[in-house]
Amino acid sequence: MEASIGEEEQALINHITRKSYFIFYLLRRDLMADTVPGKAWVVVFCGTAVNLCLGILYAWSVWAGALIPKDLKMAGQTMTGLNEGWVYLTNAEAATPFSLCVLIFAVFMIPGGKVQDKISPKFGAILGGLFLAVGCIVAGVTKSYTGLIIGFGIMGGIGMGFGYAAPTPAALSWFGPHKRGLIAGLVVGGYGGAALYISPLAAWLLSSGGITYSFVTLGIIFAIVVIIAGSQLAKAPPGYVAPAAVVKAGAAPAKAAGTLVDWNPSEIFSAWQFYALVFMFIGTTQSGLLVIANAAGLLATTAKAIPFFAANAWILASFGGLVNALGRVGTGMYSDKIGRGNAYALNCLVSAVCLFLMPSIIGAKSVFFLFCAVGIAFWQYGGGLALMPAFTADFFGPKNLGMNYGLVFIGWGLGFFMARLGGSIKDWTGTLDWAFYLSALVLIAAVLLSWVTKRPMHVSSGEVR
Amino acid sequence: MAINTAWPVPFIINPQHLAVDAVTAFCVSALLAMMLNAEAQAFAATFLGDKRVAAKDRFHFNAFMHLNVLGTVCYLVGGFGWPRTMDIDRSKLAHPRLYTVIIRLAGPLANLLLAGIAGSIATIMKTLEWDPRVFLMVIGVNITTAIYNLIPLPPLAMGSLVCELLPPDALRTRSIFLQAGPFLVIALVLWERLTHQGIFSPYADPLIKTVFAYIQSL
Repeated sequence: MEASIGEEEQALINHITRKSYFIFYLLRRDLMADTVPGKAWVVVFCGTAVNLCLGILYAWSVWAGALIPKDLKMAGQTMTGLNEGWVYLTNAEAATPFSLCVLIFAVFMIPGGKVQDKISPKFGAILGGLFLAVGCIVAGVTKSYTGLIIGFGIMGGIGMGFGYAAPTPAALSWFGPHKRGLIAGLVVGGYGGAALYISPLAAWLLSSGGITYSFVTLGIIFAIVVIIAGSQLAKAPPGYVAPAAVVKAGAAPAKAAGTLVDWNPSEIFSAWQFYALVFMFIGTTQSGLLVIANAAGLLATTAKAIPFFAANAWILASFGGLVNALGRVGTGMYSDKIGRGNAYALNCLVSAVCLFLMPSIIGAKSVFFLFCAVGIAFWQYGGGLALMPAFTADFFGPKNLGMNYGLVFIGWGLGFFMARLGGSIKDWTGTLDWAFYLSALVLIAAVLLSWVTKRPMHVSSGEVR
Repeated sequence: MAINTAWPVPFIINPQHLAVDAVTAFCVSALLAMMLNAEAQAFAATFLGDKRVAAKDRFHFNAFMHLNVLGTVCYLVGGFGWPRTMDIDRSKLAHPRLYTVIIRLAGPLANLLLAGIAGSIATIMKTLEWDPRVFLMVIGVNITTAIYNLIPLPPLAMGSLVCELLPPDALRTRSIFLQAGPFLVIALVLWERLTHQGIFSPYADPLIKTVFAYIQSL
């Protein structure tokens, strides 16, 4: 069937292209106007490369598609052709390695941070990458459900935990506070950006050589990339002073955005700003998830009716991941320019408008507006994940960032809780409308809170506002 | 999507039917439950006045450093357990007896909270038509941990309440109670497993199932 592009899709593609050009322009301008040593940028991009490998988690649905039979009754039977030796899995079995990988990743992320603190980021990244690479090969070679659990679930999760914790602190150590948002966004964005290339690559490998071939090939690629990129990771040498922000001639010197004191985790509870950060995190998480949970599925089903998207399903599969990754980099970048609070307010207010419009967007089932809504939600959700560590570093210092951010992260968990209230509201009122309005109100409350929340002063700092 | 494949709640490892997926999911859930339980106690202690700068047993979010040998064995035998006991400096608390009990209770409350969060993730997975059984396991293990904390033996939360209700001068009784508590819990759980005589489960299991059904249905 010939794929034809309608006006609406063409407008959408143009819009995405323009947006990407703008971001790359800003990125280039930022990179040029810098005086850090070349090694600093090598560390940043090697960190992104390591995360690009670790983001394999996003591509699990491609393998799940190959492992689940089209006719569910065939689960348990052996496959033929390219995938000889494999057995079809049930839906529940196919989701299990993925879920285990997520949880084990979460359990190992903090111990992984310790490894990079105590030994080196190089060691952490290479160890993590090799765990993942060997895990992929084990998953491929064993050709079994158990192999997928051990290789992808357990070893992959451990590898991601060790690897994910390594590059960001190393990259941040080379840059001053005025670049924290951009650098964290670039490195962490690699993980989200992986969704862009791993899904199509895995799909291509699957169709050309089968499941085992795809796992083993990716495992070998990961091992090579991680050893080369990981070996370049290093923290700034002791005594290194990161270049400060360029101050325009005649302008008043900027007030230090970040604290000069490193707060201890046990001290942050006494600052009300900690609870404000948790609430702000709840705000971004709940609204993003509410839209993603309720509109992403609708977008996929509605858009598949259009021949262009039916022929290019990868656009739908990668769209969320792409915007999520761009949202991290983009938000991190403009938060360095206009301030974290303003960046937060910008993201959230756009999102709040989108939430108020959600009932009509869902009612109209317009692909263009659904794309916009899902895009804004992903951008805002990813932006929140890039902003909150930067906020935490500004408020409580970089030294104990891992622990302090872990505590602020409680807000992310509670945000999940709120997103689910949407389901209950739908049960009570019969429609999701009020869930969207309530979510928008919470978001606006979070923005108001962010405006009155200023960096706390540590008793020992002697700082005067 | 209906959930027909969920593992039993409460989940107890059966050595005769070891399935790699269920056992792995259970172990990860138990690690998360122990970590949250311990970190919540640390949070409550800090909040109520026992602040410590650079304390080794607090806020490291490293599940492996919270492992307690008997608590872990209890997970493997009985499906619930406890983390390494967190040190509390009672002299820093305004109301030592009350606050100690609140700090210990924060553990199971955090387990219920984590069960709720896992429930949210499971709901979102269901809307995306992904089977959430691993997250259902996280819910089950955390609820089991929270409910079994009602057993009035230390180091479980209700046990610390009993400890605090002892007369203040009964120091010797208290220290014997604290030391013997974990062994007594393990012994009773083992007795239940080996003889199939209900000791805890006839009371705890219906409660666990009710809370599980509630969280999962929200």
